[in-house]
Amino acid sequence: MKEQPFFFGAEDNYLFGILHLPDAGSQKTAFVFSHPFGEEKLWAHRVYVSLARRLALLGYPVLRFDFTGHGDSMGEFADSDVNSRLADISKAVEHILSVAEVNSVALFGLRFGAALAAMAADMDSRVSSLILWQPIVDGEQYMQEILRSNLSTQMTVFGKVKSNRNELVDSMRAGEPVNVDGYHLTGRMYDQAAQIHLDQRRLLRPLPALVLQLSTREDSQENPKFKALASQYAPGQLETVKEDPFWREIRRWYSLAANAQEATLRWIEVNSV
Amino acid sequence: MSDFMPEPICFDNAEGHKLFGIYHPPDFRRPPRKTAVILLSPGVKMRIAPHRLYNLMADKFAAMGFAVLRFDFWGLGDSEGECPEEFLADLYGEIQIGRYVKDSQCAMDWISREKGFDRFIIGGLCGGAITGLLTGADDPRCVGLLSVGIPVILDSANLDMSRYITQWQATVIRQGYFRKLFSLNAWIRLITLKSDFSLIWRSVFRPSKPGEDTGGKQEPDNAEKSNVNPLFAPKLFALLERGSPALMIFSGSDRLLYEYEEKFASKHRQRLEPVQNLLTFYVVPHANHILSLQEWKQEMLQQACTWLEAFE
Repeated sequence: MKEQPFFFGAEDNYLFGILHLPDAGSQKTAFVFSHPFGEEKLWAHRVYVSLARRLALLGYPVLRFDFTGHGDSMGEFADSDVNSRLADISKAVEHILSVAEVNSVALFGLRFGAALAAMAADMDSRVSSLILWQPIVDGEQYMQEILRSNLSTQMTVFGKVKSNRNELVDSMRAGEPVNVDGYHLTGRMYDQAAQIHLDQRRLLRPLPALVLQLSTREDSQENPKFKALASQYAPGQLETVKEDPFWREIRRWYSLAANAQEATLRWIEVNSV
Repeated sequence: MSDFMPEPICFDNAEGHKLFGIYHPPDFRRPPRKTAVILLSPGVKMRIAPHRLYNLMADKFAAMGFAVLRFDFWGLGDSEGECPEEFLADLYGEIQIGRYVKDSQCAMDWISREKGFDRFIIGGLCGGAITGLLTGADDPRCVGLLSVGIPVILDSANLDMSRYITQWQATVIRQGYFRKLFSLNAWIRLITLKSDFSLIWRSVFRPSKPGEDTGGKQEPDNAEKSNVNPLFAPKLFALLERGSPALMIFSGSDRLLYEYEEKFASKHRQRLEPVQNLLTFYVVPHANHILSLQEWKQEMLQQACTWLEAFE
């Protein structure tokens, strides 16, 4: 297996990527990984690396890349939004099709990265299947969760909340980005993300998809939003596996989401991806 | 692509693991400097650091004319290898006793070989800072330590951290408990035995205990009741007494500042005096550990850039 770090895309807006290329016997499908939002990307990074390496060992070329304003890609976080991320996925798909001998691309994503992968697949006929781990189905609810982090910082710094959620949203819309764990969230990004309601849209084309619900309990109920999302795909499958929320700081060191990875590989095999 | 374009690079460490990094060439319009800067991964947040702090630092330092390398240690980020620890605290503990010193030496070897530099400023945030200290103390190629929020203590998943709280932590925790006196949820947690009784005891009922441990007297760093990193003091003095300066930036709301002051500086005041001129100490008021607000980041960067100006 060969792993190659590189920049791709336009000179004034290059993206950083790592290409995992199998030694031989490449499969007909390549994978493009879409990473989660902000610090969730860093906490989940090693899980992404482990999954990419495993897929490459099975003969699949994989491209992991950083969105504009994230990781080692060019640009400021505040300059990125949902549309720029979708354009980045499209560039990544284009790139892997140009370097790997494959005829289709599967998208994989976790949390907000999964939401973006699902949206990108809606618009791109080159995408042949989807793997969504704990997807953000309701973008508005997610943005509200993200703002909670700003409120906690206010409590720590000022001992009280000086601007509540509504005031933060007003401030963003007036052109003043809000600091979330060190990232500058803009009104444009907030509004675009808040429009995402994956369970309420109608798909234009059939696509096999795995929706993986990651839960700390083995006997947890199926999330109705995940169920609705999975039912949109053909075939769409919802499966629940036990995993800790490794996309944020937890006690355990998570370099591999073993249950999620094995469930994913099983699905790939059964669906001949 | 411009001359400022960062360069994705790979090099092998001593065990043959391939390490991934980004090399930032110096701004060619600035007078060339003979010293390169190496930013070492903070904990598990790889070569990026929280909210891309290292990207910002690297761009700023490169604009000053420094070559900068930031890379992932083995088992972290994109690099090869697997860290065997089950818990983050144990992984942090391994970093604090020097797991990545060899990787840092290999990074210096790589820049020497590929880019022709043989003098280095080394360091970073938290785990990157302590790795920089442990590397720099024994390697004369390191001409300075740039540290942000350096940990003085050892982490471990098996430690009862309430045993080692500082005076400042005890005060903050005690105030927190007093605020909770009128919280129904807090009383429910207490009654249902979900509260940390050890922490309550040490912070509320025996508030003077942390100070009693040291009392301003010299306490062996390897004492059973101490969680101080036994390598910290000897390595810092080795670096300073060799004549290499160190920049120590701390965040005002970070426990690490109080651990540094209570568990190191107050105990080594006498020995610090003759090397004080080599130690630049700065606190970013109110800041949290990861310097998440823009003004905190800028203040840290300004201090770091001012300090770096002295290096050729």
